[in-house]
Amino acid sequence: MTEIVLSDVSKRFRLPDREVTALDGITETFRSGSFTALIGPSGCGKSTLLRLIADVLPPSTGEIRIGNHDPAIARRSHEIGFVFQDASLLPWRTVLDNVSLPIEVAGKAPARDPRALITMVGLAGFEQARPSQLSGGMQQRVAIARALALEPKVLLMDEPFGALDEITRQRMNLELLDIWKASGTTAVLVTHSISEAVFMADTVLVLSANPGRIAHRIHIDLPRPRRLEMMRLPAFNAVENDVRAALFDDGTRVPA
Amino acid sequence: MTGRLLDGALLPPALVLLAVAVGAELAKAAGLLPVTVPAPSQVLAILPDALDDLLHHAGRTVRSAVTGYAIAAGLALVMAAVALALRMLERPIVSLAVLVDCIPLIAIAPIFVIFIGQGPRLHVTVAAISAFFPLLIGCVQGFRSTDRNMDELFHVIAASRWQRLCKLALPSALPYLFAALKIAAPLALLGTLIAEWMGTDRGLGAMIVYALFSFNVPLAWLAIVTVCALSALAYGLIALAEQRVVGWSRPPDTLAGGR
Amino acid sequence: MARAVAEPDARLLPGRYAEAQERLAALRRAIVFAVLLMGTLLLVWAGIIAALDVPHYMAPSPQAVWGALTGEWAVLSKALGFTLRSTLAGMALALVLALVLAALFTFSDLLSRAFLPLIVILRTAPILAIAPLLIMIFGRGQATSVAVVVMVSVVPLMVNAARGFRSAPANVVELMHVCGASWWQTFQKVRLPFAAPYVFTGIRMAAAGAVLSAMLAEWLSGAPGLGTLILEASSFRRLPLMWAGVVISMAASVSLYVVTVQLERKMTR
Repeated sequence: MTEIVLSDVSKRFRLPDREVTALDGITETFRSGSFTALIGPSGCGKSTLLRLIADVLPPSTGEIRIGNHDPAIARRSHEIGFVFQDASLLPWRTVLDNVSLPIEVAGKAPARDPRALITMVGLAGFEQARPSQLSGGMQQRVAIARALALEPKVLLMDEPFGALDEITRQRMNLELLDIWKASGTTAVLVTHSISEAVFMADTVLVLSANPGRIAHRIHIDLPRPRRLEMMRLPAFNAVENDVRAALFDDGTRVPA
Repeated sequence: MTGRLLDGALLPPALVLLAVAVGAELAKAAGLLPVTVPAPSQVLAILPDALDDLLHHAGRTVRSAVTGYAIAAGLALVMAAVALALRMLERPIVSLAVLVDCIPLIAIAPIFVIFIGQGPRLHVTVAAISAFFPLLIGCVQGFRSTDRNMDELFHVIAASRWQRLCKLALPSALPYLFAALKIAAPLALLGTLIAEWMGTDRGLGAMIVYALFSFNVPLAWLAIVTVCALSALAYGLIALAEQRVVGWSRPPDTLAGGR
Repeated sequence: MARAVAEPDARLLPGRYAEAQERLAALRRAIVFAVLLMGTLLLVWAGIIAALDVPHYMAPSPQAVWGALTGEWAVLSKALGFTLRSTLAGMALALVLALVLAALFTFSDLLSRAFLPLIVILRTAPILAIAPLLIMIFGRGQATSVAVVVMVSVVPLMVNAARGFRSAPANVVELMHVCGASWWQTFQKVRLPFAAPYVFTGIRMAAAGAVLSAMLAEWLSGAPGLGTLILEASSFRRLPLMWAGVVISMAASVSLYVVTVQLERKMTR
């Protein structure tokens, strides 16, 4: 069971002329095997929160536990998969070699066959292609396959589909849900899109900026598996409106 | 690859060069050019007689230039690696290189004559000095060019320092290294030439000085055309190797300070 | 954005401004470093010469160089003036030539396709190697020095100017076209302003090699500049004078470079 627990976590950055509080008093539990979306205005620290969990940045105060361990331990035992906004593939490696990178680094027998992963993300036949030969959507699928290569217990995604067009994005959303369901990881997704957050997640955390705080928790009670048709249901729209209202809560409420 | 390079990049300038040569030939025939500018045919005419001499001199020059170039490249790579490992040394190293680069070669060459004397060792030293700066900057920039997201990725997958160097820093640096190698090759040749101008009996520089003082116009042109051809050849060979090794990369727009 | 906050890193800022600024900072550090280094070296140097009683024709003492610097200032400043005049005249001429050619390339696609590859090749050629030819053609006076500086400077200037003229966003050029602007109006109101920072980058790049090129030309041609002065002082074993010449040429080279970096910084702000 891999729960992510944050207790009173804050993060401050020291700039040359002042100190900025990016995150303040974040207390949250991400249930094992759950799917959580983080949404909020620019500068609310959602990417920073993801990087705190991934042990890329240390928290200024508070504590983070991944499956009852320190994030550094989780990271060193290769329990964390991370997907960046841009695919961040190594341009000199083929698709197959990119997906195999974490396995090489960990130096252990592959938890999952990289070729099977490539097939799973729908890129069978492209194993020997270079990243520059792939479209943005295909590159992002490679990045997801790479993140899954060591069967991570935690999958962290920083606006993974932000640069994709709407059609590709929805298709990738569906595929990602299938992959998540099959792997049973605890997923955290940072996104700018309200509909994406509602469509994907069990819980949407709405963050406010300056300092970054969790302003609202919205539970999504839509049935799984999620299907694209659901996006047309009144229930879906109602939740979307809830999130939208929560997002614009701080001072500038827009009438629906 | 080679075929495409020929069609794509070399053909148009080759045509222009041909047009220039034909134009010069005609202009010379019409008496429009001064005595100091020979017709291409006049230069070609002395080639059979001068060929042995040319090869004799060019061999020495190429050897000095290549040796100096190799020394400079090795030194640059080592210093850049040291700067990568010990970040605190990066600034002093780069500062020192900027400083050395600000010293006009002409100014320090006579000083080297005093310490090393004339001869191949001087030529190699000056070649290495003139090629060193772009090489060092290229290496340092290359090691620095690692994408931050990739840095984070290697952190998240818990890669060791060694794995980072081999799997990330070195491949990321390669395009910059090649860009620097391409710029430095003609500089090494020029450095050798300048050192040879200071006095030697063998080398293309000596040949040029001899032709200049005996006012042998076609010979001077022949020697200098040979220098330019050698430089283009070196550049082309490195560019070919670059295509082979880092074909995955777009050439970085770097070394804006190179000349 | 979160990461931009995480570790503000000036090295990652894009653009020539950042690059120029970094170069300037590196240069400043280099100068401080150089002053310290030279101070130490001077002390060691003076110490060794005093302690071992080195004969003055082997290596002059710093005092002797200083003596040459002040005592022969008339000779040195005359040579420096000659070299600087050649350098500046050559750069000015090269700038005009480069702007005209780059404008022509912008005007005609055919010209640009025929000649730009050649210029790219020229950029990689050891241009200084043709200095002896220029001496043959232009004789042993100042004209050769100017010609050598022009040859060396024109390539980086033109490459940058051409890049600058092309840097005008296609949309803005199309807008001018839609407004019915003539080629010249577009050039003057859009391309030229967009190119300005690039041109100054070109000037900075050309300045780096210009003094060196002028000195090399003098060196080969025997024209009365710093290059000749250093060479003659060296062959007559007048080492204090030679070192004084070296110091002055370095100072001139660095000053010109700093001035152009400052200029570029002002223009790209």
